[in-house]
Formats: sequence, structure tokens, C-alpha cells
Amino acid sequence: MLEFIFSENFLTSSICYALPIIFAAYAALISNKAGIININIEGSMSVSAVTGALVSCFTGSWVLGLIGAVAAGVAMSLLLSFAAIRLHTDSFLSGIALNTLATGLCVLILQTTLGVKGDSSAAPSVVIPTLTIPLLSKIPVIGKALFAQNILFYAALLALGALCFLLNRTKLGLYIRAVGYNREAASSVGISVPGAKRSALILCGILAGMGGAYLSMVSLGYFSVGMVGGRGFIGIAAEAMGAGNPLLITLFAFLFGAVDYFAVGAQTVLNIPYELLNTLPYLMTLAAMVICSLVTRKTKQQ
Amino acid sequence: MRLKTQMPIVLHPSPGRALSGVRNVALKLAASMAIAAAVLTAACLLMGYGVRDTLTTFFLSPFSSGYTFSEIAREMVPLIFTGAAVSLMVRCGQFNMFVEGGFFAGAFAAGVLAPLLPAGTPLIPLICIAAAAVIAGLIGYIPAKMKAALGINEFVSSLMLNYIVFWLCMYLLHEVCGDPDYVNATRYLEESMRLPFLNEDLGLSSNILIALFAALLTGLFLFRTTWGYRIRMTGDNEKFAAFSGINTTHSIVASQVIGAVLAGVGGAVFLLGNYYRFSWTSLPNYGFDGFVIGIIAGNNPFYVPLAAAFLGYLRVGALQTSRMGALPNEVIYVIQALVIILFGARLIRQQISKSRKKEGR
Amino acid sequence: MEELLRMSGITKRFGNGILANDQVNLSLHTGEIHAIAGENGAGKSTLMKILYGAELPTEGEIFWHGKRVLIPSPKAATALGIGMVYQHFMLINELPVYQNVYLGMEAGRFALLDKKAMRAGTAALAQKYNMPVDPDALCGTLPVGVAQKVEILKVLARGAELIILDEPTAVLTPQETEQLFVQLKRMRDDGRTIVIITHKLREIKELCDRVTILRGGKNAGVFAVADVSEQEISERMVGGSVNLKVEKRPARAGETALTVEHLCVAGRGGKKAVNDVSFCAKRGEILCLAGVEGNGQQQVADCLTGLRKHYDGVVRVLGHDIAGMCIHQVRGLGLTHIPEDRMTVGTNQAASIYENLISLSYDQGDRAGWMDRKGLRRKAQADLETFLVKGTPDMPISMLSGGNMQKVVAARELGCHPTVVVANQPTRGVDVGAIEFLHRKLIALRDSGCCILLISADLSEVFALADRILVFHDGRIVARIRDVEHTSEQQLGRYMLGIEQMEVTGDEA
Repeated sequence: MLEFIFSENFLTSSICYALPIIFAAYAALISNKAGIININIEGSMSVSAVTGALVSCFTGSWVLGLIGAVAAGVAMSLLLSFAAIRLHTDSFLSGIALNTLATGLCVLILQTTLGVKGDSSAAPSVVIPTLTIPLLSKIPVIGKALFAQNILFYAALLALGALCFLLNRTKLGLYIRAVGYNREAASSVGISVPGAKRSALILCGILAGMGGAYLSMVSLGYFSVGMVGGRGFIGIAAEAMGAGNPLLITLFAFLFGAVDYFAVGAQTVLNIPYELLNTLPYLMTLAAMVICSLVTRKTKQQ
Repeated sequence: MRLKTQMPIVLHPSPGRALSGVRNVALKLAASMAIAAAVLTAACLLMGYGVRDTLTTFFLSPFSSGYTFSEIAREMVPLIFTGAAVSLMVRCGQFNMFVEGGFFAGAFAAGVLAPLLPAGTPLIPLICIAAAAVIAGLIGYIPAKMKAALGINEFVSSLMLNYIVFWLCMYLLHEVCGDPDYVNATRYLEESMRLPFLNEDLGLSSNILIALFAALLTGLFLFRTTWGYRIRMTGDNEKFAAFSGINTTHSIVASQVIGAVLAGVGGAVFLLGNYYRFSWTSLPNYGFDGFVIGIIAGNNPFYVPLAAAFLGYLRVGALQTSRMGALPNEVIYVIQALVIILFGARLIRQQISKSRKKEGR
Repeated sequence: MEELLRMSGITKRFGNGILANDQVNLSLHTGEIHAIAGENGAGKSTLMKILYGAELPTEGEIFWHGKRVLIPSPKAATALGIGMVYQHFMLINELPVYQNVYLGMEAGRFALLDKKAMRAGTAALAQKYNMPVDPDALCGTLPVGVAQKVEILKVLARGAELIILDEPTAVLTPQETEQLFVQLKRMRDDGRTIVIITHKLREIKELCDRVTILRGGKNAGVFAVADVSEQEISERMVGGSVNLKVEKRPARAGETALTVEHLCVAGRGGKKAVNDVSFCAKRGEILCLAGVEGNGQQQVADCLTGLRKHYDGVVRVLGHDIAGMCIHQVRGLGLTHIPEDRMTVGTNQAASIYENLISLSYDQGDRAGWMDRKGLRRKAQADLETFLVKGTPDMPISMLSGGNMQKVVAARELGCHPTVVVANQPTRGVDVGAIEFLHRKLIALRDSGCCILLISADLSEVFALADRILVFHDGRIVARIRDVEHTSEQQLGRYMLGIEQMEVTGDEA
């Protein structure tokens, strides 16, 4: 059991399981900074996943597939921004609606293109390749986990840096935060509130798109209905627990990924039914939310 | 937790104005039909099906036979329960998704319990429904308490809880209380364990009557009782409610627990009326459907059956269309999404109320 | 003197028919400090909002440097060189001072922020006008006085020639006020023009060059401050305005209803918002807590009504210590409360008038939880009639005017035979007819043996109603006035501003 956890493989696989959650959490971060609770990340990821899988399969290029996935994520974000910002539908309700839309859309797309309903295993995706960095990847224990990873892993690292930079060093980042903190004050100095929100949502869509692409173009190799399985929501929870701090958020998302992998990986080592192991990520999210809130409550009192 | 700062306010028509409320719902239904027609047309053109045939099948086939008619009733049962549950919680300002898990748990509990009771026990369905209510209520208390005591956003916590409930039920089904002679299902439900049919040939169960009664009760609870008043005032304006001496924490917990109970009862009633075994292998998505119903009905439980009938009708239409080998059933989700977005739109709501004011005064 | 700005014939009529400005003229000279003076509701704020582009005039013209201009938005005003410091600050608490100052006009090439330049710019500007502000402090952690400085810096950084300040001293301590005046004069000497909205005579005398007086939405005179006495200004402000005096007999105080002993409430930045306050109020009298807003009266009201749970000291309502009681229990003792904020606390804007009226009595006559709808409706209907509310029970309350809305609140809070009433700014923003009506109601309640605790910043209201006055300043009671008849407004004003303190005798009035 301990051997299983303290293995190179466990670290590597945990990162793999964490990546979609990390992308989702970043997506939640940027939209939350602009004051929008985007629960549509879940739906965006599934539409991105199906788009990425199919585009890569039909064009034979993972690059185009990834671009397709990101475009799909952005499209979903634009829909949300239209509903929430232009039509003034409550962003929560819009998110629920777009998640419903995503459920339908994925099946419709599969049906139209492949004539099937459940998954795209008949037309496997072109898998996004792994990038092995010579020498560094030979470092024991962490080498394989950090330097022989999928391209999207490096993209996530890049996204982390870019997010920090954007939020702290650029005008757009400042506008997004200003709008999220105090809409009235921001608009009183001439900042366009809808503009800042829309920009944040587009970035959110890009990130969710990569998360979706990871699922269907790396993890599984094809799209399957329901494959997102709440990872978008877990990402939102990770973001909430990290309280807007990108590094903390990454840490929490990684933890969720590790538990997620544990649930799968431990089936071979532990004599616990997989159904019960499957509850672990969700149980941990609940527990983490309780602990987080207790901690913030304590610090507030002091 | 930071999530809670931006809780949405969902406006609803004032309950005193029943007439304009009915008109409001009727207007929405008409607009929903238009949305459905537009989506179908677009989908047909995209996917290369005949527009006219599809539209005809979609809109007319639900009325074609007694069978399709009873299918609408069947679709309505879960929608009414989840719609009433969501309405109740949204009226209190709570966006709780446990309606989904509660429905699932309720159905599972009824499916497991009914065959376990000694044969000849009177009123087995009633006992099962009560058990489902208790179980769903107890689990529903978790996110409610977390929100009330710790301020944890109920949306995320209830979603997580749904997955936990789902996998727990799966575990119990596979390992503990499934039918050993049947794959992934509970034991067979004998006639004495099930709710009676109104018309057995058409498969029309009496559970639709229970559903209608539940919606009526929820409406009366919300608009005629002191609890309901407290819940509504809390949802509209928590500061005002607290200022008036209303225990808002209490309202928040009560609305979520009662919503969960409604969902659990719904699951049990649906299973005992329309199934012979519990054999669901995924979450049925009724929680999200509840929000569609809530939106169309203006979160007024009295209008929930009307909204459910309408959505049931569209769903049977979609089902019939897919049976004809045309558009897949899932097209209904696209229609639902647009309905939520458009009816939730403040812009459009304002336009409607403006035009109404002009007429009225 | 060169004329910087002229507003001529400005009329503003709001959607609900209220005429806020009626043919108002205003002329500002370059490099002066100009006061816009007038009572509450004289139209000062509306006029300034029109100048800043936050409201559009119904009629009238604005000339800037002699040229006719339209100011459709605050953005347009900023572009012209007009800046405004609102009473409610428009600061983003989570951002540091320098980012707030430069928000919307950041330094930096391309899309990047040049934090260094902005920090330096803020520091330089602060230095120039002698405002001790730390550019890196988060705005949420600043005391009110400093936050106001940040607002002024914001306006200065945008290169405003004309700076409008809306009652800038309302939230300041005397020392902060002094400091602000020095800084404003420095800005004037720097060639900027400053308009301050105020109704405090002392400030006009001390700070301003000229004053434009408004009364009831109309011009009531323009003077060079040096040529006019405080007496004259105040006469112009009040003029022949409606006499708010309502007939009332001397109070016949009965038994003690409210006792507050050594009450302390923590406030912002480690300061005490309420600092060792003790008093008691009797049945059959109107006790007024007077004071400039933000001097602790609000916190005292919150403690008394059960809204605030954390305080030190003892609060007794009709003999019961209310520590640990919930609002419901406190109300159960016979205490009702007209809150300061009627839009979010006093009413439920999403509900009907009927539902707003029954929030205290909804469970009266219920059977097993079922509301007695007939009884409640009958009572609601009767309430609407006695309180002369222009509306029907099923109307959404949001359709009512401010005065009628306040009458609904009053009907609910006063109509249920209370023993103690805490009335917090009960007539703010309400039309004259409603003011008189509400005053009569409060006096009638007093005469029926009810204890009324009135919190008011409006001197005419204080004098019209109070049997005794406690003046609050900086969280303490600085004066206990028994002889209201023979106290002048000026005297009361001096107490409120903390210029004078009354010798507090041993008697715990």
C-alpha cells in the first residue's frame, strides 16, 4: 500500500489525473476574478473534449484537434457571456442551462458525425504527444513526473505563470480584478465592466478547452459521454478553497487529482470495492470545504 | 467560502396576482414552442433530416395515442417532484443540486426496501415512500447544515454529495442488496409493492396523482403557511427577514431539507409506479430538469404541473422523433437550455413587465 | 475673476414627479472655493450630479470656459476636467492606494502596468498637497479620513480643474476636518476650483470664498462669504420653509423602559465605535440620540434591537437583559424598530405591500402553521388606511414612492402596539406631508405611554420631537439636554461637532 503511494508511478499518474482539474480550477480562477461564478466549466470541458477528439481524428493532426477544443471552449464561454452579460440572465442559471446544452450538444455532434451515441472509440483521437526533456527526465523519482510529461502539462505550467503575470502585471488583469471586486467603482473610472468580464470568460474558455482536450486526447484517447464526470465542478471547488491564490489552487487541484488516481489505482492494491473508492474525490472535496471554512472562520475571529 | 458572495436573486411573479401569473406561464409556453420549433428546424437542416416530417412527429405524435399520452404523464412525475423541490429551494435563495441525488437515493431505497418487507405487510408502497423521504431528508440535511453553519456554498457541496450518493448506491446495489439472479438490479417488485395502475394497458400509473398532490401541497406550504412565508422572505431579502425576527438559518435549512424530502419521495413514487426493479446505472439528470421547470413555472409550485406537462410533452415528442430514426432524443437538452437562458433573462423579464404595466394602468 | 463654469436655468424633474431643481443658476470662478448650501432635500446633490454627468437635466444649459457643453456621463465630465468625491467612496478595497488612484488611466507601455511610475506619481501628488498617504496600503484597511484623501488624489491625478466634494466633513473628526481644509486651500492656491456641498455654516465661513444657497430646489441667493453673516446664511437656507413644529404636550415620563450601561462596541481599526455609553429611557417620552452620522448612534440602535450580538456592557429592554437574545425574542418584549435603510432592511422590495406589512404578525391567529389570511388581509387593509398609504395590498412595494414606502414600514412597526420604538432616521428622504404625518404618529404613541428612542441627524426633527436629547460625538455622549425648549440649534450644533461638551453631572439621565 505505502509502496503504491510512494512510487514514481503514483506521482506521475497523479499529475495526469490532476491536469484536467487544474485546468478547470484555473478557468474558475479567471472567471471568479471577474466576479462571475462560471459553473459551465463542466459543460465547456465536455464540448471541448468531443470537438478535440473528432477534429483530431478527421484531420489527423493533434494540433488542429487542440485548437478545435480550445475554440469550442471559447465558444461556450461566449455563449455564457452573451447570456449572462448581454441578456442579464443570472450567471448561475446560465451555467446550468449551458451545462444542459453541453449534454445535448455532445450527443448531437457524435450522432451527426459518427452516427453513434455513446462514445467516439470507433474514431480514436490523435493523441497529444509527450515531450521528454533529455537528461532532466533521468532524475530519479521526479524526473519522469516533471520532465517526461504530456505537452499539456507544460501548457498548464505556462498557464500558471501567464495567469499570475496577467493578473498582477497587466492592465487587463487589473481591470478584471477591479470589476470582480467592485463593479461600481470600476465603472466609475471608465472601465468597461462587460468588456472585462468577457475577456475573463474567453480566457476561461481557453483553459477549459485545454482541460477537455486532455480528457479526450490524452487520458482516454477518445470521447465518451459523461467523461468529464464532475471534474469541472471539482475544479471550481479547488478554486474556492485556494481563495484566489493560483499556487494554492494548483496545490488543491493536484490533491484532488491524487485522490482521484488513488481511487483508481488502489483497486489493484487494496481490497476495497471500486464503488467506494470512487466516492473518495468527492468525499475529500466535501471534507476540504468544511476544513477550509473552519480555518477561515478561525482566522477571521482572531 | 468566497463563492457565496454572489448568490443570485431569482425574481418571481408576485403570488397574489394569480391571473397574470397564469398568463405569464402561458406566454412562456408559447415562446418555448417557438424555441423548440427553431431548434428542431436548425438541427434537421444541419443533420439532413426532413424538417416537415420531424416537426410533425415532434409536435403531434404525443397526442397520437393513449399510449403516448400516458407516456407524457410518466415523464411528468419526476419533473413535478424535482420542479416543486427546486421551486421551494430557489424561493429561499438556495441553489441546491441534491434534488438529483435525493431522487436517486429515494428510488433506490424504495427499490431495496419493498422486497425486504415481509409479504402481506399492508401499504408497502406507503412505507417505502416514507422511508425514502426520511433517507433523502437526512442526507439533504448535510449540505443544508454546511451552508447554514459554515457558509459553504450549497451548489458545490450538493453536487459532490450527488456523486457520493450515486457511488454508494452502486456499491450497495452491486455488493449488498442486488438481486443475485439479475445483473445490477434490485429484486422484482410484486404487485402489492407497487403503486396501482390507473390503466394497466397504457401503463398509466397512479403516481401522477400523487405527484399532482405533492405540487399542490408544496404550493400551499409555500404560500399559505407561516413556514412558507418565512422561507420566501428569507429568499427575497435575508436582511429584511432577519430584521423582522425571522430565523433565516432555520429557513435555509428547512427549505433544503424539505426540497430533499420532496426529491426522495419523487424517486420512490416514480420507481414504485413505473418500474419493476431499480436498475439505474447513472444519475438521471432530474435535478437540472427541476431548474427548467422552476424557470417556466416562475418557481411557483402551483404552476409546476403545467410546466411539467409541457416539458413532458416536448420530451415525448423528442422520444417519438428519435424512435422514427430521425433526430436523437438529446435534442431536448438544447431546447431546455435555451428556455432557461431566455426566461431567466432580466432584460426580457423587464420588457414583459413593462408592457404589462402599460396595458394594466 | 474669470468664469470657469456657468449653469443656467437647470431644472430636474424625476420620474416620480419630484421637482429636485427648479430653474437653478450657478456660476463658478476659477480658483475659488464655492459652497453649495441648503437643507436636506434642497436639491444640492442633484445639481452637482447634473454637473458631474451622473444625472441629466430636464432643462437648462451648462457653459464650461464660456462654451456650451453637454455632460452626458461622468466619463465626459472627467474628460472636461470635472471630478467628484462622493460621500460614499468609490474605492476598491482589495487594491492598494496607488492602483486605485490610477485605475482606468494606468501608467505603462502596451498592456503592461508600470507599478513604479504609478507608485511614484501617487507619492508625488500626495506630497504636493501634503496628504500623508501610503501608496501601497490596501484601501480597505484605511481609516475613513485617509480613504477620502485617496478619492481626492484620484480626482487630482485625472487633472481635474473643478473638484466637487459632497459633504466631505460628514464622516471626519474635527482634526481631520482641519487638515482637509488646509489641503483644499492649497489646491485652490494651485489654481483649481472647488465646490463643496454642505449645510454646516461654520465650514462655509471658515473655508469658502462664495456661497450659493438653495432652498426647496430653487436659488436663494449667492454671496461672497466675507460680506454675509452666519445668521443671514442660515435664514436664507431655512427661509420661510415649512414649519415642522407639531403640536405636542409636555411629556409625562413613566417607568424606565430602556437601560444601557457602559456599552462599548468595537469599531474600525481598533477604535471604539461606542465608548462607555450609559443612559436610560422612560415610557411616555421621546429620547433623541442626536449627532453627526457615524458617531456611534447607529451601533447603539443595533445593540438595542438585537441586530448586533457582540458588545460589552448591559442592555436592558423593559427590565430584561437582552444579551444572547435573538431578534425575535427582543421584538417579543414589545420593541419595534424603524431601520435607517428602508430599501434593503426595512422592506422586501421583491414582495407585495401586503407581505411587507405582515412580517411581524404573519403568525398571529395561525392554526397549526396555516396563516390566518383573512385576518391578516383585513389588518393590512386597515393599516394602509390609517397610515394613508397610497396603494393596494397586492401592489409590489417597489412601485411606491419613498414617503409611502416609509409609511408602510411605520404602519408595520408602529401599528402593532409597541412598548418601545427605536426610530432610526424615520423621515429621511421623505416628502414634507409624510414627515408631518410620521411625527404626529410618533407623538401620539408617546402620549399613549410608549417609549420612543429617536435617532436623527436632522436638527429640525430633533427639535420638533425630542423631550430629551443625548448628543453623540466620537462614540461618547457629550451632552445630555433636558431643557430642549431653551436650547438653540447653534448650541446643539456645537455639541454635535464636538466643539463643546456639557458638564456631565452625576445624574444618569
